[in-house]
Amino acid sequence: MCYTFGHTFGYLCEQVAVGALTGGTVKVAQVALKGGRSLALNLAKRTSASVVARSQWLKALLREAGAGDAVMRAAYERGLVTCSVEPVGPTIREVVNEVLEKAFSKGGFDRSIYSWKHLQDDLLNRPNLSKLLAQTGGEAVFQRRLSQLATIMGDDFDAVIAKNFAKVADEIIVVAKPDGTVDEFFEGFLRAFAGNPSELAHADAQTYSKVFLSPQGKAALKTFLSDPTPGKLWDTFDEATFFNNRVRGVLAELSVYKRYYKGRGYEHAPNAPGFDFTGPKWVQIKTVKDPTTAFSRMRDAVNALIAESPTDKPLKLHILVPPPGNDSAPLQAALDNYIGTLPAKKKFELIIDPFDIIP
Amino acid sequence: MIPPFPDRTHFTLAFPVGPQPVSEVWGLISQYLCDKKCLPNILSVQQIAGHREEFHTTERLKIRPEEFAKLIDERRLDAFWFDSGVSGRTLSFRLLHAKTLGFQSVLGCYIEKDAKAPKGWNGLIEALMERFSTVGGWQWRQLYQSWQSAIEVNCGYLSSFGSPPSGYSMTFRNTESLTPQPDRVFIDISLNPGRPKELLPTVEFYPTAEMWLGPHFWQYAQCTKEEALAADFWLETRDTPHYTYFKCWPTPFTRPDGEQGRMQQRLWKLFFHEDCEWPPGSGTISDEPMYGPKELWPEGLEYPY
Repeated sequence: MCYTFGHTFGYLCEQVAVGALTGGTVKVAQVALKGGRSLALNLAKRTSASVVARSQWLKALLREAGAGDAVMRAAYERGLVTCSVEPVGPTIREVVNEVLEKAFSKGGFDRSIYSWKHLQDDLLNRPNLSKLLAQTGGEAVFQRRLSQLATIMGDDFDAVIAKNFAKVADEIIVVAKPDGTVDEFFEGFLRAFAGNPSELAHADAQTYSKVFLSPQGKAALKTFLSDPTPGKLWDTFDEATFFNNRVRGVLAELSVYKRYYKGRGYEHAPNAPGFDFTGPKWVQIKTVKDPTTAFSRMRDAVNALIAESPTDKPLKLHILVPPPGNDSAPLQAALDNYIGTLPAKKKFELIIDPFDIIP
Repeated sequence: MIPPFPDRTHFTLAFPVGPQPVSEVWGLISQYLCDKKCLPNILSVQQIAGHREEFHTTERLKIRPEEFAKLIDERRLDAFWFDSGVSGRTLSFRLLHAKTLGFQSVLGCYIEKDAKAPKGWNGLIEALMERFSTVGGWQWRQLYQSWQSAIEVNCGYLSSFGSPPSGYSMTFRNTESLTPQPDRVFIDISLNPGRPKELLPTVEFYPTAEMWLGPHFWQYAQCTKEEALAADFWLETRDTPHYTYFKCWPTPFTRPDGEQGRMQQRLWKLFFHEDCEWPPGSGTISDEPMYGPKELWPEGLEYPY
């Protein structure tokens, strides 16, 4: 049972884990006495991953005095405890660190590209992930989401995807707020790859519940998280397929909501037909890669927004195009002209914005 | 494909209460289009307007015209929005009600430049007004109506109508965008000869060369029907139990200045005791044509802009 306890860092970590598991009242030996061999073995298994993570953390502290301040250390430790004893979520009952250790250990997973050390570095050094870690309730979020991703991807989960997920999480999914805190849309991100708006009913939930993607969704997610250009919205999702349009639209919608609209008093209506956000205005977000072919689709979006919204509310069609957006002027003019034929023109705002999902 | 400006004869028809049954509205539209050999082969129907919430989706329903009446009845539609679904040659009709702002409804259309559509809508407007109670019906040339009613100087304004007259009073609003963009520029069109006037939410009056004014219009006017009929500038009037037809110019208006501008001024003074001016800020109606798109410039005169 106690082979890991011989390791200094492991011992420390066990005490943290046991403390969490038992409300801080018993030591591992007591767990063994109270719960018998099976609980104690289970505890040892859960903590083996924590030991590695913990040791990397402590090594980093030794190596580099500035690797973390007291707040970060405490946050990391809380996250470590959570990930050592708690399941990923309601639909993935395995403990977070067990899932990760299993994923990192499987054949073909190149631990020189990604492993516990890289995970720790990402948590501590990436600007938004470190803010998430330090935030109350955020200590274990990325680790959980990484294990959720590993579960969803199954055999396709490799070190490159893990590495790039950290990059995409930091640059896209975790969004800095003006007050210095961060917000995130991990669940919505994973659900976006279902390509089905009904999946987005709980896009903003903290449920860790998405566990299955279709082969098409998995392939798209794999492409989005693979080298050489992870996180490239416009490259990954061209307009060749309906599915691509859907996924691209949802990812952009989630990103724009977190980056811009949420802080301005808007509510997200992820699976409403005709509009995406309500608030000071009723807003529809659309992504357009080729503005020269999008007029009919955008005209339908104008019509749907008018038909679906209350008559007395200002309306806004916010079209996102790849930067620099130079070729969108003809589309803008044609839509301005179209909107100008409608009585609703008085309350309608059309914006075509060059947009990159990585700010 | 980016379509050219939809410069066709458009119309609108306002009802004080949403017309029922809606299938009869469609029946009259389809009959008129059929008579004019312009009925589309396929209709692309929006599944939001007039639909109960359980049907709402942005997916459009493609059906044959002869199936639409059945759809209206089966889904108990109280409004609709459909088009012919042909990019660049779209013919579209919308019957929309004011929702929380009242019982009124407005039937309108959108006709792309190369769409197969009638040259005028007189027969349809009159058939609908004979069948349903109305506020009024108006038809116009879309380029002129869009120019005169444009309240924002945007990309479309500049490309279709040219630079706005310098005398416009302008206001500026921040553009709510992710990337820095110029402010939105709004112009005060409240004295444009061709401006619309809101009678009640979503229902507007248009000072057009031909007007069909229904029994419900006169409560919003500053004159009586008899006073209007007594004016001496009409080319033609017809008073029927369902509407009163007024024609003051042989073709749809194309200019806010000259004789056309003065005719629109007469309409404003008669119906609403209001005035107009062109160009903006002049306090009068210019004898000479000023501003506007080349397509609306008087023939034989050199376009100076």
